[in-house]
Amino acid sequence: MDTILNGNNIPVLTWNHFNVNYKQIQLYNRPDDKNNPVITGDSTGMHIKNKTSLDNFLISGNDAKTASYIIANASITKTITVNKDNSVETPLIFDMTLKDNDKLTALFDIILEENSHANIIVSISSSANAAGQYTDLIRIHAKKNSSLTFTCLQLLGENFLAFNNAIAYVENDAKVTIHHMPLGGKTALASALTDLHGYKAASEIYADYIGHSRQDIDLNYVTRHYGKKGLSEIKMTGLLLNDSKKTARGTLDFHHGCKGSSGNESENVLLLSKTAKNKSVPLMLCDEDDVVGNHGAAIGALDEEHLFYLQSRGIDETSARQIFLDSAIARLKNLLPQNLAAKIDTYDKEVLCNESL
Amino acid sequence: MSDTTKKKTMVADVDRNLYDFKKAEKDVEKLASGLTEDIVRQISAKKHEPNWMLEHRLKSLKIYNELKVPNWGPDITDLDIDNIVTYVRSKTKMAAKWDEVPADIKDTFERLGIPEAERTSLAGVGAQYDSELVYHNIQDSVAKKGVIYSGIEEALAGPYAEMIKQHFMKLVPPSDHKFAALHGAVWSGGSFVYVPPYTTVDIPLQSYFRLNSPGAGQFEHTLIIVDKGAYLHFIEGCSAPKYNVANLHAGCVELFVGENAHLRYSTIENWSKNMYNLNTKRAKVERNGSMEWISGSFGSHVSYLYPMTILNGEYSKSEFTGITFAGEGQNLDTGTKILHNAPHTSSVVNTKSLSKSGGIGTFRSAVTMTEKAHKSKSSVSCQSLMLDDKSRSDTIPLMDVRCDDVNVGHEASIGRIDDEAVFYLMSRGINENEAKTLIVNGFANPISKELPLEYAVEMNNLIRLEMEGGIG
Repeated sequence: MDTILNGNNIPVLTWNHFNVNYKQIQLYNRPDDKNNPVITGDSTGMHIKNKTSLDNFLISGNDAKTASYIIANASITKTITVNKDNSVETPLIFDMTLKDNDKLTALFDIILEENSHANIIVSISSSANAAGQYTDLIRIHAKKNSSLTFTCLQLLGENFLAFNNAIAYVENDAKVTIHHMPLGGKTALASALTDLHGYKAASEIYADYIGHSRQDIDLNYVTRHYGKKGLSEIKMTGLLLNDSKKTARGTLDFHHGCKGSSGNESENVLLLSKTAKNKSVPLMLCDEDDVVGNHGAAIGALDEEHLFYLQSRGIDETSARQIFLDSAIARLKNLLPQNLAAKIDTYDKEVLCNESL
Repeated sequence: MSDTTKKKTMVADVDRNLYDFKKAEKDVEKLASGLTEDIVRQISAKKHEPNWMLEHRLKSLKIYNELKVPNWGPDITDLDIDNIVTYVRSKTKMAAKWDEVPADIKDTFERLGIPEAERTSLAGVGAQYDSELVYHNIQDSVAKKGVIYSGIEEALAGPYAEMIKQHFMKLVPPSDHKFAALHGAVWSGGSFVYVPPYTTVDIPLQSYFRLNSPGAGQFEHTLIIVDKGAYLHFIEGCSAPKYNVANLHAGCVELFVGENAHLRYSTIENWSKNMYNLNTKRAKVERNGSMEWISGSFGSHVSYLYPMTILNGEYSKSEFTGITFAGEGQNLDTGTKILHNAPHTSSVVNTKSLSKSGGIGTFRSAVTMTEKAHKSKSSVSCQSLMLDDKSRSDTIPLMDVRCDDVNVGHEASIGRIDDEAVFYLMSRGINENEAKTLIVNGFANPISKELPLEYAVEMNNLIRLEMEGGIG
């Protein structure tokens, strides 16, 4: 029997009839297919082992059930430990190519020892029309003065259910950047929770998506400020084509005692279809007076002035839309190493080229 | 004794005297507490209302029993309907002259300044005491224009009965939520306004609701129809003395704004801090019409208050301007909902929220653009100011966009009083307390300037009193 899970729970509930308080999904009970990620890139000063290490990691918050499901079912487990004082700029890449009907669960622990710096990418892909299920949980422990850039590129087939999760515990002067690119899948969920416990702890969460066909994208990002002078950013950017729909929740949660902290949250959604649907819920929760929190959202079609400018130069509306789509793709490619950028090219040719603009 | 301490004592006295005075209950008729079919039938029987209304009440009661208490929003588990008296009335008839109102009730409204406001700046006044209206009057010059302003129950027995039947709880159906169903079952009192086509009511009408009875509920229904091309400014005020038992307010406001019509609806809510304010307000605006909400929330122990506008006609507009001040023991969950359901509609929301002395202020909103809302625009701005580190302020906006050629913007900020601004003012010889009061008044000014003058003065006084009480 399938597991019914309410994932991507919003930290504070709002009106139920808008259907944004959580996303209900059906998951397989035994998603335990095997896959050996191809590891490339620079692993200098890192230890990689096939076991988890952060099993005492405290998972609090509303999505503990999602974490429990993944921990109980994980068939791929890894720990990446970045040694003290070790700094690696070239990304370390874990590349997984899934087969049709694969059901895979991955659990990665990333430990950054003091004063270490790393760049880690997890890429998950399959053929364009494949079906299956993929869920993962990335647990990150950033110790004093460390930093991590973690990127998750999800390019699964059009009948996949994908659910990428990341949680991070951030100590003094440490910084964690999480970048989600949930591009594939019929249902694409992504969530991240960063807990800024240390003094001047920082996090940045970015999500970039291109909703296409009948894709259902569901995002939930939360940053909780506990330590003093924390700094956070949540930024979600995307465009929606055809019958795609997207729900985005972003929460800045300032806890009592996080004096001097500052958080920003922003969202930009470009609607390129009359039938696309967008829901946005940018929350700001504040239990401390000495903080600065801002959020902004802009949702709409192509700006008429921009469109007029392009049309006055002989570019018709469809071509103008294509330019915006192309620029979104180009931006993502620029953020990735060459071999992964090539996967986005393939995705563009096999998936997005069928979209009407 | 320091100067500041003296001010603190004075504040407490002034604050209590302003609204917190109690009148002994005499010649009062009260139904049993709780909510049963028998109580609903008793309320209906007292009002000699048409059969359809009794059926509506009984249907609402059934819905109330079926619906659950919301799983979101402030905690209301201490509100026990079995302890609430849903109907209390003084044994007096509604009067059209203040001299005919019983002395103690008249004294209540005198102290609240209602008769004086009527003489100086209002076109008509309705005054409700507990469950029933005790006074209703409209200036002859306004009545001659064909404007109807009366008690809704009175209107239900007159020539506008059919109009009321067509509109009553059509915007806020009892199935909307549990407390709308409660209202549908036990509603009592409230006003009916009809402004005929192309009629301008130059000066405002005001209804004032006073709940005097401890442990009672007030469930007034306000129905306003502004016909095409007409203009109206309606003011709603409410207050109650503080008791150590829970009181409940579950009123309902339904506003119909016709083509090219404009309605401005101003509210200053200053219920006592034992009040559960679970009020529902909704407006529907037709082509080229406009709806303007001015909302100040200062009182209540718990509030759920989200005036909603349905922009149903092309080029219709909505503007919501609100301020919420949550102090000690208060959990005020306020905001607005806007449904864009026609092309070229526009909405602007501008709210300010202040939290102090452990108060919890939550701004909650929802902007929906339906598939019909082509070329529509919405802009929401929400600013919160934390006045100490014991309080809490949350912002929970929601945007639901189902149409591509729209423009939806949202911005919010949260923070405390800027130390540099306080330092600047203090360097000019202003003490810290006054400096902070000035800054808070400046923060609230964009809202207070939209309020009717007497309410703006009242709001500024409230802010000053709250700020003075907080220092020392």
